[in-house]
Amino acid sequence: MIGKIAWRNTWYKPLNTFLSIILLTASVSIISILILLQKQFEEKFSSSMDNIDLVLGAKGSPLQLILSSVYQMDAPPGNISYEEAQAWMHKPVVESAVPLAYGDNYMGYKIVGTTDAYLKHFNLKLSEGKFFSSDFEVVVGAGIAHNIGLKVGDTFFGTHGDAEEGEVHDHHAYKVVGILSESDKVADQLILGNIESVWHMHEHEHEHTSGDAHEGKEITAVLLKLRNNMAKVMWQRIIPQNTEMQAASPILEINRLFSLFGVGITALKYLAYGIMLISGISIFVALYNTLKERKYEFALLRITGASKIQLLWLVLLESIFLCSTGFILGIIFGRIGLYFISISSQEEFKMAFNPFEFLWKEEGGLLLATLLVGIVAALIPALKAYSLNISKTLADA
Amino acid sequence: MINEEDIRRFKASELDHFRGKSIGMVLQKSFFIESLSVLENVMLASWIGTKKKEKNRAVMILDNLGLSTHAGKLPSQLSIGQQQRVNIARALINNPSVILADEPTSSLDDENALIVARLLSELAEEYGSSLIIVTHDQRLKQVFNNQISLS
Repeated sequence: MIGKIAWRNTWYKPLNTFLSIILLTASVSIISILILLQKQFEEKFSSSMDNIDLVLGAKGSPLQLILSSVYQMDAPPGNISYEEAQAWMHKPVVESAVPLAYGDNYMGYKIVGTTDAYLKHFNLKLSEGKFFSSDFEVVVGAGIAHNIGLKVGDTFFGTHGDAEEGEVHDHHAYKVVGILSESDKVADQLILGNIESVWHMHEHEHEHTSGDAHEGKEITAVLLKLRNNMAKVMWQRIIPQNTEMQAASPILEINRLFSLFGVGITALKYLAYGIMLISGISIFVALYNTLKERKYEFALLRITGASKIQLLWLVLLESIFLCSTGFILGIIFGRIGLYFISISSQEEFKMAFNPFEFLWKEEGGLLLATLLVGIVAALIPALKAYSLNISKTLADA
Repeated sequence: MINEEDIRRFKASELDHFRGKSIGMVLQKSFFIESLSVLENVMLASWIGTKKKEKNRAVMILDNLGLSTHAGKLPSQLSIGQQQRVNIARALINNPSVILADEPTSSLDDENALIVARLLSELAEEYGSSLIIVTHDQRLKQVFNNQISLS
């Protein structure tokens, strides 16, 4: 019954409640978006990274090399000679080596030349069709098949480079021979073919433009899994010293990236907690201001037999109801926000987030923090109600 | 001494309980939980006093006081006279041993003052409660026989 009064009181003067709830909703939704983004982002990055110890690529920024080769998010720093790379790919310490050759895209999705080592390395399965075996045959990731509706047997022309609008290679068409089943890895957003397709596509073009057909077979990067931890460290030093290539460690680079992100995310979280503090103050002010007009209400409750504790509880509950409402709305709006972020990041980075995940530990902690703010804000008004002198209040009425 | 219990020996929490259960109060001004309806305000007193929601009894008393059509309204939507009658209903809901009324008619016009006074005395009799009224109101002298004048 005290709960019912508290609930009715909360909504009896909606304007007073409105500001507090808006502030709470804003801070909770910001924090929950950040929590989800950070967690899912790291998960996506880590799941694509597993099994890759080193990436062999052109000299330049190691982070750029990792982003372009492992996550398909950036332009590659340059090309390397396939011959030179193969010298390292066939060393006994290498457990598996996946060559990658970029060149074209189809509607913004990268066409990657590789070998069947890619499929084994990432443990990819086909949902229909077969793996590519000859030139210009490709398998497409589940995400692409779903988004642009490519089917087995379809053909398409690639566009040069990684921009959606570019020169179309209309000499050779790619033919879809298989669709990959969903893996939650970057392969969902890739079109895979053999390396020769990529070379032939561009040789043709070179004959036309410059006549300089054979400048050595080039690829973009090689993903390596090594048997030996020593080699992982050694190669990062030896390879740039002795060749025109570099070897970058995904774990190292991604941790560097996370720590850069981390600063921004931490700053945003502080901002959101700041907003929560302000909402706590606004709850306090709202409750405190209405104390004067409500003291007759409290006196009335005491007259009808309510105890002091029940009054204390009434004020606390009102604040807790406010905070719970703010929390629930915040979680809902956070989900909606993440859904839209997911749509735009899918378009730009081919990276989707799941807004329906609930992180019990982090968001449960957030709930506790919200309730704590509510209780602290209501404490002084609640104590004032608790220590109200009824006979004096009624005598003054 | 009320109901053969010495209220001076009660602790604070026992006093709260005793007040809710055995004493009904009608005050000079009407106070309500503004966010609850008339019926809920009356039921609230029964819940606080006895932990039971006497809905049927609350409806019956309001009906008795001619307020049955107003039971679902908010207290602020009622006239002063009607509000005072709701106060009486609230004072009666727990079948109290004693009803204390402090200037129950001072804010009412002649007609309403007499209605309220008559209701108080009739209902106190009907429900078997002792009624003590403190007042300056000359109009009440005609209604009540037992008077103590303080000078």
